[in-house]
Amino acid sequence: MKNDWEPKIVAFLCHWCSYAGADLAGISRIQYPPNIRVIRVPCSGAVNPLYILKALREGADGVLVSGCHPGDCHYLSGNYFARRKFFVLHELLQWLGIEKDRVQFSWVSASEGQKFSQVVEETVEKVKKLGPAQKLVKEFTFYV
Amino acid sequence: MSEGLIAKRKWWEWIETKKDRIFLTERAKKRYGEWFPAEGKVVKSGKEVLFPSGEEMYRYLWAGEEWKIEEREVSGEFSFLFLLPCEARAIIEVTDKVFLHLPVDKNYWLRRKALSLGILACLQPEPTCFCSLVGGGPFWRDEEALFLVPRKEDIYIQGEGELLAFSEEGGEKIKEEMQALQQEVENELPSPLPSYFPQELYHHFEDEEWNELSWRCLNCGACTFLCPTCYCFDIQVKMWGDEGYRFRCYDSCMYSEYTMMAGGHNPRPTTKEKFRNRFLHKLEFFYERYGRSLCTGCGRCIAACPNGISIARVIEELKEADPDA
Amino acid sequence: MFEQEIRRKAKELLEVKAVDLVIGYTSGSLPFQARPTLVSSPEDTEQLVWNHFCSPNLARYLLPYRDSSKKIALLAKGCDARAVVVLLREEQFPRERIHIIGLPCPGIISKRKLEEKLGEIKEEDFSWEESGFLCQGKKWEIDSFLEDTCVRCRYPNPPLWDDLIGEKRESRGSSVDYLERISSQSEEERWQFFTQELSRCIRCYACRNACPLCYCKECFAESDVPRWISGVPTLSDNSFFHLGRSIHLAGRCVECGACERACPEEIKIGLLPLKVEEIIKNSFSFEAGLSLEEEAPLLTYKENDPGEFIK
Ligand code: SF4
Ligand code: SF4
Ligand code: SF4
Ligand code: SF4
Ligand code: SF4
Repeated sequence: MKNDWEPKIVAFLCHWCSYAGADLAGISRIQYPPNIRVIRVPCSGAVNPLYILKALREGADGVLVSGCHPGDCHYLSGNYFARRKFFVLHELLQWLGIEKDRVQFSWVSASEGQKFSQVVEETVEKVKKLGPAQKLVKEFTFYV
Repeated sequence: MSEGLIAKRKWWEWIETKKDRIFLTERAKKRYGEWFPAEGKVVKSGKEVLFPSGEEMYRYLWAGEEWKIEEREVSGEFSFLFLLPCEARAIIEVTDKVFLHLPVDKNYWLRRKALSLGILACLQPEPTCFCSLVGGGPFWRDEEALFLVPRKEDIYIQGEGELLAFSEEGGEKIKEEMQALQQEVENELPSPLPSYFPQELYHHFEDEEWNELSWRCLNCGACTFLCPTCYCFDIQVKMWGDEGYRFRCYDSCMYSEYTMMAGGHNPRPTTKEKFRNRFLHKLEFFYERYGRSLCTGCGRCIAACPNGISIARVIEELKEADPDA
Repeated sequence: MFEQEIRRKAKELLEVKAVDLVIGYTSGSLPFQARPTLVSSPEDTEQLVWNHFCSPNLARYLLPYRDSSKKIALLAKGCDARAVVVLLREEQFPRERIHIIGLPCPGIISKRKLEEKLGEIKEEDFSWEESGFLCQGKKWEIDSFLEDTCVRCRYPNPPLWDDLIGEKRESRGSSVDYLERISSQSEEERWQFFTQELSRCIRCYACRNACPLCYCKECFAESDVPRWISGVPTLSDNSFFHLGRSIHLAGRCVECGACERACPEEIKIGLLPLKVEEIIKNSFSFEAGLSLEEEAPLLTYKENDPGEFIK
């Protein structure tokens, strides 16, 4: 692994809480590592597990999904459904032997700018420890 | 064409078996150039070698000011491959015709030009085999290819080229033995179809039979992917920002996407039409264009089908439904 | 055996026009094989068979009739009937259109295992008995020849039926579970194992098409817009397909193993959906296809669901 390698992390943030949390972190000038690429989604419940797999396939080294705290969902229960889906995906990935630390989940509210930066820091740290993603990444070339 | 015997002791020096396929040994490789890495499972056919399941065609790249397009060419290194008659026939009589017909498919041609085929007599036909029904046979051979019959003690060899320099004298007796062996193997297989059969199938397009025959098919496409003569492909693209490549991969007439048109119309909407296309293409449409059937009777599709569909039985049943037969 | 009774029942249903069609099994085109068949007239019921090789999940064959008004009877082993329950629960059919002829299932025998243990086999050398068979002058128990999914089967009896033919059976649910064997390995070993399996996949989709519950009109695997994966059977795309498929079957897979048996490359592909079912069973106490009232586990939630993995 090259020393200057920096992980690329795709972050799916829910519009109502985590995206606003990220915004707050920005406005409050709280520093967090620049490794994440944010994709805003209406709700963590709108994150299809295929999105996560697709991000990994396209070469992301890690994926972060963040939504409202349980009970705070703008759509009442989207994050509860999400929790079940992500749990299954997480367990399955681990069982297949795909590092489950590459896929991180968090609840961050609109007022938790500080927590958001912490979550990103931890995620980046964990992914850095794992090194560049290899499993599931689409092959750049194949047999000719 | 010359022929002869190599003592078993000797042929091991030149040929070795690996996973039911036969390869040249290190020593032979030195003499015959690089060995083709065809470490396939037997369930796959030899077509993979000439027509891989995925293949880059060209690569593109934004080089600062303009797009650069880089064609991908196969190396075309010399290679040697032994196949069973059904697979070899699929190459010589089918895929060669399709891909080398104008316009010539360049990658196929480069690989094909460099490939030396050996045909290995098939001494243990399986219950799925019916090559003799469609004009082939377990001892089918071709002028261009080396032909081998492995025996208990030695190997009977027929063909041209240097390899024969190692053979010892053959003789009439051995020829007779070979013929007896061939007869024995062929007796186990179904008897050939009447030669008028493929043309007659034309009248079956509207048959009621198709509903019945196709009913258990799930359009999975396992049969088409494993068939040594199915040659349909799709062209797709992979991209990473400003670079990527275009490639081709197998496609199957069993899939809905295959005939789906812009706007959503599908001329082959149900299992019946897809199924009928597969079998009539094999037995009739291809015959009209190239004068032979697009099936070499290898039985791979029969073994692969999860629902017990057998092309041999489809042929039989259509034949039965034909009042003139 | 029960074959006669099955034929009689099918004949009766067709004669009194209680149903328009009967979906069952008939002898295959190869030895040790049974294939699905469609019977629509009472005279044709003689072709029906019922034996240890009736492997395809017949619930799959209901799907083409989704939009017709035909009334259909189908022979259903434990897992077939469970798949029918899921289809009914997912409102693919009204209950009245399906007549289930339930068959407590003795287990499906794997032809591969027969060949592994007995070498070259011929149909005429076998004589079948209630709990085993005679072959090569010896009596064999069927247990060691059963398909992996049948070895671990906990529901050989159909959970829902209109007629039941045969005695109810004990659940096998063997403790030597092949899921556990894999779970006991290290992460790297598991990845090695799955890499070996998944890289052999030719993406013919036989597994998907044999599955009674993969009935999407357009599967993500072949969708053009968006295009999730390419058509080339590379390891990454194969893994994507099988992961995605298993997730789509979460809380729906009935552990019939039809997918695995359909695979021409003999890939242990049923392991993935089966593992997902295990996760769901352990964490959400749910098993698919047992009752019409059940609520799909991913369409509901509890406030105390596992959540430690979320920061
Ligand atoms: S159609 Fe079947 S039997 Fe004929 S060549 Fe193809 S795989 Fe072999
Ligand atoms: S393998 Fe069988 S079920 Fe699958 S498409 Fe071919 S004929 Fe149909
Ligand atoms: S049936 Fe087997 S080879 Fe075909 S797509 Fe499924 S796993 Fe892959
Ligand atoms: S995924 Fe496999 S085991 Fe599960 S229901 Fe479908 S075919 Fe059966
Ligand atoms: S894998 Fe998913 S999208 Fe494809 S048919 Fe099955 S359930 Fe539908």
